[in-house]
Amino acid sequence: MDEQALIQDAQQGNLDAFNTLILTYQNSVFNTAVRILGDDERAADASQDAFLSAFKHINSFRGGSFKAWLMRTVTNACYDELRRQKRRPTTPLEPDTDDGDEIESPRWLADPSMSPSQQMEADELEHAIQHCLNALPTDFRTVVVLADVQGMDYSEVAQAARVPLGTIKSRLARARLKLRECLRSFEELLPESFRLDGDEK
Amino acid sequence: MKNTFRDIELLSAYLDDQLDSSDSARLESRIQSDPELGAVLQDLSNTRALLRKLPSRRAPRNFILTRKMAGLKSPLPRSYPTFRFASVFATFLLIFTYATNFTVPLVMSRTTVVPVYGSGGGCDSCDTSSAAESALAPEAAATEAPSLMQADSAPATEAPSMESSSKLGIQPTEISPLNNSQPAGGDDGFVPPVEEPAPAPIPDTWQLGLIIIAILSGTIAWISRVVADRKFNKQ
Repeated sequence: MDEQALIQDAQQGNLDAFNTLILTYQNSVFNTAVRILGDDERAADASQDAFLSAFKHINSFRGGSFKAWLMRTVTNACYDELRRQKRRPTTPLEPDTDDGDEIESPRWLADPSMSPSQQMEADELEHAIQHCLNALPTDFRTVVVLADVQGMDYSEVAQAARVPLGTIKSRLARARLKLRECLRSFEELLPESFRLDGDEK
Repeated sequence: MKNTFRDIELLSAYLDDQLDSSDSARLESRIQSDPELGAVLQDLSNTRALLRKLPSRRAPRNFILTRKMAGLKSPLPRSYPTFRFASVFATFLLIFTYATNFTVPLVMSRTTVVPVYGSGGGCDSCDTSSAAESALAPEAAATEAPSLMQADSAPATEAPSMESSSKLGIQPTEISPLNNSQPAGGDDGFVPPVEEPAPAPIPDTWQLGLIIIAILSGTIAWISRVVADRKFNKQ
């Protein structure tokens, strides 16, 4: 069944059709949420809230990119979660050990296809990138996650972030610049081909 | 030459093929002549590549929505409105029957019960009853024409009956024993009103029937709704 038909059925209250759409997009939605929030549990909650909100407001979808519309919903859910986070004490990204210490290199993200040393390096690099993403202002982080992590084009990002195309260009440039500065401090973690050799070096 | 933020913005857009052909050509010629600009472009490209290489995280669980989560309600069973209406209607009727059975006997007793005084003549109490009537008469006169009483003295308004009765030579104490003796003296010609309970216009069996209908139809409506909800949520 094609996406347009599923959307139309969902707009008529067909929950099964909407659940099919959820299964198609849940990884993208969760991945976006986890990169914006930097926390798995909160990202899962935000994703669930986003899908619930999307079903309730599916009649407001007037065509265009459904993925972009869904990403706008998850972005809003993430902003709500970040506002809630400000009012509550924060919890660390990493799970605690039995002694209550943070796990520095999270084994819980392990990919079984990698060797332990590769996994450790990948974990550390991912951790470093996520650290730099978290350091960005929320608006910049959203744009860079949608454009560079999700690979959406500028018009889709503009639709998802509800800002003009010019603002997307500007925010993306600033975000990449700030990320470049941040990643310099993790130079030793970066693969050889990705070493940053900018003008300031 | 120091790169401005405008240059960074152009390089970022160039990286994503967001510049038109003329801007792209101009920037490319600048990159060739300015190695610093080329290095920044390489850095931005590497940064973007790093982000794109981030492992895609799989959802830890399915986020599919249940009907309960989506707030969808099961369609009402066909018989539900009938039973619900029957329950509500029977309840209203029941309240109406209780109200009728309570108010009708009250109204009936007020219209039928007539107090019977002095039905027998030539008794000893005739004097006292006439005295009581005469004692009441000046009181009534005093209330009817207070100006006459007030002309004599101002306190007369405070106790006109006492004063007028004393003027007439009737002791007020004679009235109270009479009043007290009236209910007890059946032989004195006073017949107390016989209050026979008026029959309830709506029989108890009807009320019982209405209670049964209200409870039964309400229960059936509730059960049918619960069963329909469970079936719907299992789907």
